[in-house]
This record gives sequence, C-alpha cells and structure tokens, in this order.
Amino acid sequence: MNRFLAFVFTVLTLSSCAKETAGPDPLSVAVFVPGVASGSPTYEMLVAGATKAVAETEGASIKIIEAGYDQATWMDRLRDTVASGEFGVVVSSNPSLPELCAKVSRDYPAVRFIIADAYLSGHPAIHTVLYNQKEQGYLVGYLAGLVTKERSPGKPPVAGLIAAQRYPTLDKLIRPGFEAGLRAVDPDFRLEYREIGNWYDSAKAAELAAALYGAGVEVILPIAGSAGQGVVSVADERGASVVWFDGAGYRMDPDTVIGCATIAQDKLVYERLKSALGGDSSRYGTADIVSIRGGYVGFDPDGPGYANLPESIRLAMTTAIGNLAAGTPDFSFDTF
Amino acid sequence: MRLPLRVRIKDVGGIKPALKLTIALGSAVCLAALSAFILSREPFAALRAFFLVPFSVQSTFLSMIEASAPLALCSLGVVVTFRAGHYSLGGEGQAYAGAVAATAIAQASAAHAGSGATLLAIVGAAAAGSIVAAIPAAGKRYAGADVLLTSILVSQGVIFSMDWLIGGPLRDSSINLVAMKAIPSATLLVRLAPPATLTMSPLLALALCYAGWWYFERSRAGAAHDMYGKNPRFAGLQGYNEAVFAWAPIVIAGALHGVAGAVMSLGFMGTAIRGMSGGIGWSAIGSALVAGSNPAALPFSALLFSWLDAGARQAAVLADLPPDSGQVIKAVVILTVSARPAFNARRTLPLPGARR
Repeated sequence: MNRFLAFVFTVLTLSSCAKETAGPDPLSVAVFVPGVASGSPTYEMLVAGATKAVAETEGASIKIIEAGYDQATWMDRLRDTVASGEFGVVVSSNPSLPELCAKVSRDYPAVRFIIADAYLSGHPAIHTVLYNQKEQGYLVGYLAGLVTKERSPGKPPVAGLIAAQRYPTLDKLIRPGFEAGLRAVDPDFRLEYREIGNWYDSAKAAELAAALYGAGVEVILPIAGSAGQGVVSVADERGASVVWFDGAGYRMDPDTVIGCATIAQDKLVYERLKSALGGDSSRYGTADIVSIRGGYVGFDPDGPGYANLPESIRLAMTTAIGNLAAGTPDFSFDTF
Repeated sequence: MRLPLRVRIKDVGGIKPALKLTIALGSAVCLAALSAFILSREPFAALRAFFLVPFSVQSTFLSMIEASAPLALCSLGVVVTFRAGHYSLGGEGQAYAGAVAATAIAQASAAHAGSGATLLAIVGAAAAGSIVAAIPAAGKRYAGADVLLTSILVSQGVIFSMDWLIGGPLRDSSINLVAMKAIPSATLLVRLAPPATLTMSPLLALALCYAGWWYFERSRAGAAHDMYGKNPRFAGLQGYNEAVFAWAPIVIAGALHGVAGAVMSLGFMGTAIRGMSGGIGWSAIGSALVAGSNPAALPFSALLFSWLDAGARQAAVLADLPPDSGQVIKAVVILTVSARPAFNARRTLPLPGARR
C-alpha cells in the first residue's frame, strides 16, 4: 500500500512540473453561455452574433461553451475556459459575468472579455454593454397598463411582475421602467411583485402566477428565465395575458403572450466582436449603454397575441414607441 | 450469464484500498475514453483535454489539487461516521453551513483580528458543521433515531436555510451574483502558485487524513471506534464507552465537513455563493468508498474525483463533451468499486442442504 501511494505521489509531483502554455491567440473566441443556448433567445442571439463576426474574420475561430444554469459553477467553468490558454477573447452575456471575469482576469491579464447585458466600467480587459432596460420595461409596462384598463375598466388597476430573484438591473432598471409604463397609462396603477428564488422552478412560478391572476391581475411580466414558462402556462389556462422581455415570447404561446420587448443582441455582439477581432482595442475598459435610439432596444409587434389586441391599443403602443425613440419620456443615463 | 450484484455500503476490510484505487482509476480511464468516443464529435480532442490538459497545464493541475482538498476533508468525515456504523448522509448541509459561517466570520473579524481572522473563520466553520451534525447525533444518542434518515432531513433543511441566507439577509445586493460579500483578500488563504488556485488546504487535508489513518490503525481509541462500528454491544462488553461513540463520530465528521466548507469559501471563490456545495456530500461518500474507508487513501481518491471533474470541464471547453459527463463517470466508478459479483458472497453462505 505504502509503495503504491509513494508511486502515485511521485507521478503527481513530476506532473506538476508541467509548463504553462504560451499566450492566447487574439483571434480565438470563446462564447461563454451562462446557461444553455438552445431555447434561450438572448443566448441564441449571442451565439449568432459572435458566429457571424468570426465567420467574417479571416483566421478567427470560435468555440461555444455552455456553463449551465448553476451560478455556483460558472466561476470554475469560466476559469477553465481562460486557463486553457486557447482563447484570446471571451464573449458572454449576463449581468453577473463582469464580476467573475474581473476575478479571473487578475490571473490571466492577456485575455479580453466582451460582455453584453452587463455593466462594469474601468477594467482594462473588459468591455461591457448594457441595454437600457428601463426603456424595455416601460414599453411592456405601457402595454400591460393599456390591456388591463381595457379589460377591467372599473377595477383598481393592478399588474404583476414575477422575478427569479432580485438583482441590481432588475431593481434599478426593469422594475422602475415597468412601473413607469403602467403609471403612464394610469398614475394609480399598483404593481404586485413576487419572487421565485431561482431561474428554473416553473412550478413555483406557476403557483405565484395563479395567485396573482386569482387576485385580479390581468397581465404579468415574468423575468424568470426558463421558469417563466410556468407563468405562461397558468395565463393560458385562465385566459389571462403575459408580456415578455428580451424577445421571442410569442414562440412560447402565440395568443397568451401579448407583447415582447426586444434587444438586438445579435447585432450588438456582431458589431463589438467584429471590431475587436479587427484590432480595435479601444473599447476595453469602457462600459456602454445602448438604447432604443440606436436600435438596440425595441418592441416586437409580429405576434398573434399582439395582433389580436384592439386596434386602439396597438395605435397607442405605436405612438408610445415613437415617443420613446424621440426621447419622451427620457430614460437615458450615463453610468449604472 | 448475468451475475447479480450486491453493493457494500460500509466497506472495512475486503479488497485492499490500493487495489480499489487501481480499479477505480482503471474504470475511470476506460469510461472517460468511452464517453469521449460516444458523446463527442471530436473524440481525439476530447481525449487530449480529458487526459493531458489537467496534467500538462501547470495552473490547471495545481487547481485540480486544490479542488481535491475539500473533497478529501468531507471524505474523511464520511469515514469517521461510517466506521462507527453511523450512515450519516448529511455532509452537504454541514459543508454549506461551514462555508457560510466562514464567510460571515471572516468578514466580521477581518478588521479586528488581522491574519487571525482566517483561523477564526476555519474554527467557526468547524463549529457550524458540528452544530448541524449535532442534531442527528443527539437524536441517535438520546432517542435512538436512525442517523441515515435524520441526517439527510437536517441537511436538506440547512441547505434551504443557507440558500435563503445567501439570497436574502446576507446577500451582497450591489452585485448580480447571488452571493455574500467578498471576503477581504488579506483574510483569504494565501495562494501558493498564482495563477493556480492552490493554497495550503491540500496540505491541511493531507495532514488530517494521515492523522485519521494513525487514529484508526495505530490507536486504541481507533480500534474501539471500529469495534463499535461492527458491533456496539460487543464494544460495550469490552469496556468501551458506547455512549460517546453513539454521537461523537457524527459531530467530529460535521466539524470536518465544516472545515471543507471554509476551505471552499476562503479559497479562490472568496465568498459563499448560493448552491456552492452542490454534490459534495455525494462525491465524498463515493470517494470514501473508493478509498476503502482507509484515511490514508482518501487524498488519492479525492484527487481521482477532482481529475474527473477537471477533465470533464476541460473536455467541454476544448472539445464538445457534456460537462456533466464527469458526474456520470464518477457514479459508474463508485458502482464498480462497490459492487462485487454475487458468487463472491455465496462462498460465505452455507450450501443447500448443509447443516447449520
């Protein structure tokens, strides 16, 4: 036994003398998906944008790495990705990622990070782009307000927001934007907020949605990842409605989902990565905020759920979208 | 001909730990190679990533050793309870409580205790793990409750509570990750070879495993511990204190799991993240089985499991192997070393018609 253990120990000690790999190839791109790309419109757009940029850059290569939904494992997987020495640029999308990238970057300063849907300013290896999600929230809030008032004209106006968990982007942008949209329709609107606790428990999301719809809520905005499916199912059963965030909600239930706020993630990722692969390193260290004025935030009207709404509502929405793009109301901000 | 299998939960004696480790290593290598050819479209890249990268890239190799430390500590806890005949399955909750306690104590004491804050955090984590373990231990000692059931119930309750604490009152609300505030860097375990995550924790695990080996193989108390595990009544007849063995191993194991949690949060992670303990209890039981419940073999079985995790992650990064394939391989390795053909067992049974 002792001889065997001594042998194993010797082998391991000798292995530790292995050398570090050379510096990473600046044209080798890792797309780090903090979840699963398939079925997630945000991540599908992330992959599509990065793939297009790489395809148009001679000598560039791409690798898609899915890290799954467990936040506790992201650090290890991101670290392994960077430590492999294979990638010069890591592209990702999630508000939590800059914190993890900054930590990993201390040990691997040669690797560059482009993170969409996130904000971190001043880190020399990281470029982030935050969507003005207050505008997104406003658009779906305004629609939820119009539909609620149309369906329940005499009742105290109330709408629902079911979130996976609290996080700064939700607290500072999405929720205030949604409330602003509701109150643009009627200043007396009340928002019922509920929290699931994670991004995958659709059964709990369904339970919370059932309680809200049962209490007289007509429209709910789920910010809950895959758990949002639970809200859509309950809304479908009860003939109620859902407004969706970050696009492609109509695919889940064409009639129940009555409107989707969108982001042009594929366009954004394509532009920023293409520029970086072309040798432009000036964006690293900066944090941009993009909005409806650049075409990065919008509203998708091409769904049966939206088409079936009364024309007066659709006309009011068209006007609201135009006004928002023109700066009324003005939700612009410089730092986050 | 199909041979029925039986699984040995507690494994003292039987085939030697070195042979078990060899079988485990062999089956892990075969399964990893098989999964590379079956699950990956780039089998040779997957093989390279699984077998070469964890050993050929220095930082990956040293980080892999670091990752084995909490697993070795938890496995030692498993051995301490299993060899006393207590099948405690509550390790994950104990480790999670240790991680949260270590983070909270490190933050609170960093300003006042200086470098002593790290030690304070480890001691506090051990206490937290012990307290969680003390509940099933008290149930066993005073009410004869089944540790198997109570430990897993308590552990699950603790996991939910820690999830709530990290996501609620203890959460750092300035960041998007569901985690506690970062521990001040001066209080973290010193990294020995950056960029690798390696700290002193593997040496701590090694020292404790060796101390465990000495206790079981060389001390009178260890012999009594084993005797109690095999037959508590006989141990009592020999004059050993049955009452102590009814609870102390469970509480000591809780302390070891708590220290493992501290090692996780005081290491590279630098905080407690929700769900960070996921699967460590199960892996620790597997690692203890692979080591044949011998503390001296635990660092190697923990390293084997750590390699399976690191290799699978590397194969997911550099090829297209599913990252969870390491977990599946672990499960099959555990079954391979735990299950024996039933003819082996039948040899010990009386032949039909023989006198009893």
